Amino acid sequence: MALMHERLTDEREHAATGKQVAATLLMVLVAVLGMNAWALQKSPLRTRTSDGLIVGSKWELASNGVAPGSVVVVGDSGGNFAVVGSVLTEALGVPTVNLCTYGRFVMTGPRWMLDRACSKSEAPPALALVVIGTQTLVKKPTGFQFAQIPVSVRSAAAGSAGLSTNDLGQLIVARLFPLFSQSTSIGNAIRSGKWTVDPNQMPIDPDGSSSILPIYQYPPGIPDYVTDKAIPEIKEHVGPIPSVSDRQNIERMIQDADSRGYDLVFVDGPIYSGMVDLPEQVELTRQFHEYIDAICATSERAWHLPGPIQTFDATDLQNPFHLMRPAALRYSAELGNRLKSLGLPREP
Amino acid sequence: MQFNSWVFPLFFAIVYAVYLALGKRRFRLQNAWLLAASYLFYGVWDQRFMALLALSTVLDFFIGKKLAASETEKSRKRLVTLSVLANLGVLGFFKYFGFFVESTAAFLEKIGFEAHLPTLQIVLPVGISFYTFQTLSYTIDVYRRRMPATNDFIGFGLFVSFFPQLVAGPIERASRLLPQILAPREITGTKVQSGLWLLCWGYFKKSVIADHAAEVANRLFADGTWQELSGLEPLLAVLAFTIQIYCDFSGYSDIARGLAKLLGFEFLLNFKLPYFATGPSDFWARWHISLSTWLRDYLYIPLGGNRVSTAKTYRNMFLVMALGGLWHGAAWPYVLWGSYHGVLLVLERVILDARGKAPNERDYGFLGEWTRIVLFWVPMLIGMAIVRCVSVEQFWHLMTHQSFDLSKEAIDGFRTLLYFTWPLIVVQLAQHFSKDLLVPLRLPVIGRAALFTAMILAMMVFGVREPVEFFYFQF
Repeated sequence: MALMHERLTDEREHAATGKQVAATLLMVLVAVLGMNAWALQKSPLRTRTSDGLIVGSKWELASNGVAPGSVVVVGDSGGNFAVVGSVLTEALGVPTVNLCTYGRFVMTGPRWMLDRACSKSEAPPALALVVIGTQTLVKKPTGFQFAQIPVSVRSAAAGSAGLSTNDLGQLIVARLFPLFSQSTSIGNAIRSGKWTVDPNQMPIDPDGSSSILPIYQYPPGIPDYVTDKAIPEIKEHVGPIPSVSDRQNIERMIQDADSRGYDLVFVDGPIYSGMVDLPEQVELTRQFHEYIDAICATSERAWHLPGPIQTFDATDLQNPFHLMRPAALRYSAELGNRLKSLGLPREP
Repeated sequence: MQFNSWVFPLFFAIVYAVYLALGKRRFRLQNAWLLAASYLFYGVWDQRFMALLALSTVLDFFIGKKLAASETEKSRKRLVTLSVLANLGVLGFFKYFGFFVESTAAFLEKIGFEAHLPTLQIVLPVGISFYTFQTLSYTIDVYRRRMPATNDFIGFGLFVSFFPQLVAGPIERASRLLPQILAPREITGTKVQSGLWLLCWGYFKKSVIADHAAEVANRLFADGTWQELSGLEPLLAVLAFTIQIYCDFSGYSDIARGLAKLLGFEFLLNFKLPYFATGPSDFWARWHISLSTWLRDYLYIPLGGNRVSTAKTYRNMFLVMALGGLWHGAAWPYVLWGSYHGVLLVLERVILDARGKAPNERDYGFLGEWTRIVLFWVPMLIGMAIVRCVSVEQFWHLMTHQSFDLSKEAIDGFRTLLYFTWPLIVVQLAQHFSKDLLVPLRLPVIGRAALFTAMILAMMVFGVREPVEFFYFQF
């Protein structure tokens, strides 16, 4: 039985005064905050992680403003890799900038990006495209994730589509501690001894168009991704599609388009052909389309791009929603054709 | 509410601020405040079971008072029996009813009867195994006249429900914790420093080491994967779980003890470097000490302990360990695990008896000690495999598919384990050789600050983000 003996290690208190404890805590606080501030301002990790690279580049692009009468594309990672700006520019005859980031930012991220671009531009764009895959609508974002977009706390809290108190609290914590909010990328970088994303392997064009290289292809294959990750994520989702928060953001984007005077088109992101007809996916798409068609009908400036969802074979994809560059060129060309057939962008 | 949930730091900050503001002269008010906080802490899980906690409190408080007032041995015995039956009855119903019904049905089926026994979907109240044993220690100690009954209902309520140790221990003795509750607490710089270290080290062990080890273990033990394990992979799986369960549980205990120190209390030490044990009895002097000493004092000794015949001593040792296994969980792996350790303890005692050595004689010398530490890892890992495996087939597969083949999967797994576990190895070696669990606090102020900073930064970057429930909550 448990017999105590003298060879057991025990706890020995080490005398400390209140002042010593306070000094220790102060030093820890300064060091922790200092390291985080350094990471926020100076660390190369800021721009060399996958989060930092994509979000930072797109935010910078948005902050430069867009040319009057141009096309601004916002959305998730499906849109990021699918919309090739040069193809749309050629098709539509106006400059295009791709500000798409990640699905984890749901509809909030695209709204912030679009708002940033518009507020930093001398004149509004002619057309804004919101490229969203339905998988984005079942994501469960946190304030820590939203914090990756460098929007101000005031902007994040403001208006009808402001973040919830909980998310806002997390965003503030994450702002103070970027080592915490970007821990996945930074942790991977430290462990592997190399940056998570080599900028040369995920090139971003000056117009924001990004390509993903085949080396990032999901190793077990696209069909396995669908059964292992995508469909379970849809099944786990509870609540309306889009979520209340996404609806608020969509409505806010439409209001902004009306007040600023540009057209806003919601575009279905690309998807793997083997997934689009699965019952869970069909139901998800139905719910989203039902909502988006209804809400777009309330504004003369808002559209849901007509036509079937563009689908692709596994060989075209990095995962069920990310297109390789050759497929992205086809997607963008088709997108241009459909916009033109709608008469968009309108003549100034 | 869990210690590793986002809301807990806010909860504790508010509780602590008010606690300090009340001051030690109003310690009864502090007790009332902590009691309210404890019920809130518990109610966040499931409000229904707050009533069960309150019931256990009320019952044992009044039985304690009756015991103090009662003169005759007969009525005292009746009262303590009532307390034991009521507490174990509640525990038995919530924790073991389904287990016994299912086991009986399975047994009857095996011998040819078709059994249709009633089954109930019973939710296990969090922490019931811990607070039941804790409150039982009060009535039994009052019955044994080892401590007086208390008249302070609020204080007693706090003893049963004190939030730092309510759901996963340490299982405190009434004779140890109640006197602390019923007197003003002194919060000193020394205590705060130790408390902060325990908090930091506990969270580090949980979020950085245990949760990463759990990822390795869960991946390898997953259905469809364990069937394919071979070479060194079974060892990796069990090793990962061994690291997970220790860092998870001792991490929780450290956090609990750290919080208690900040509030001016002292909780029992629950772990004393168990993976440095030189044998089975040494292991149980180091692992979940508050449970093993509880079982020793309230079960082993009343059964006669080692003051009976040799055969009965062995029987007692085995029985106590088997029941200790059952305490952990209403499932056969836990019973087997306890029984396995019972067998190990008996074997050790048999060998010691044959050599004419006292069980407490442990002067092995450096080489002897380290040889024993290394050798004891083998039976200890087998014990861990028994706990973790969900079927005999799984256990058998792990035990029979081992070789020195090192697959890429195994290399990655060992690398991950080592990457996150080396701070544990370094700190524990320092603790072992210095015989001081608080050895990092011997560093000068600047060194302590650097250590705290490094651990906090490591938790920020490497801590598993989604709160993973503490393993011992299921008990």
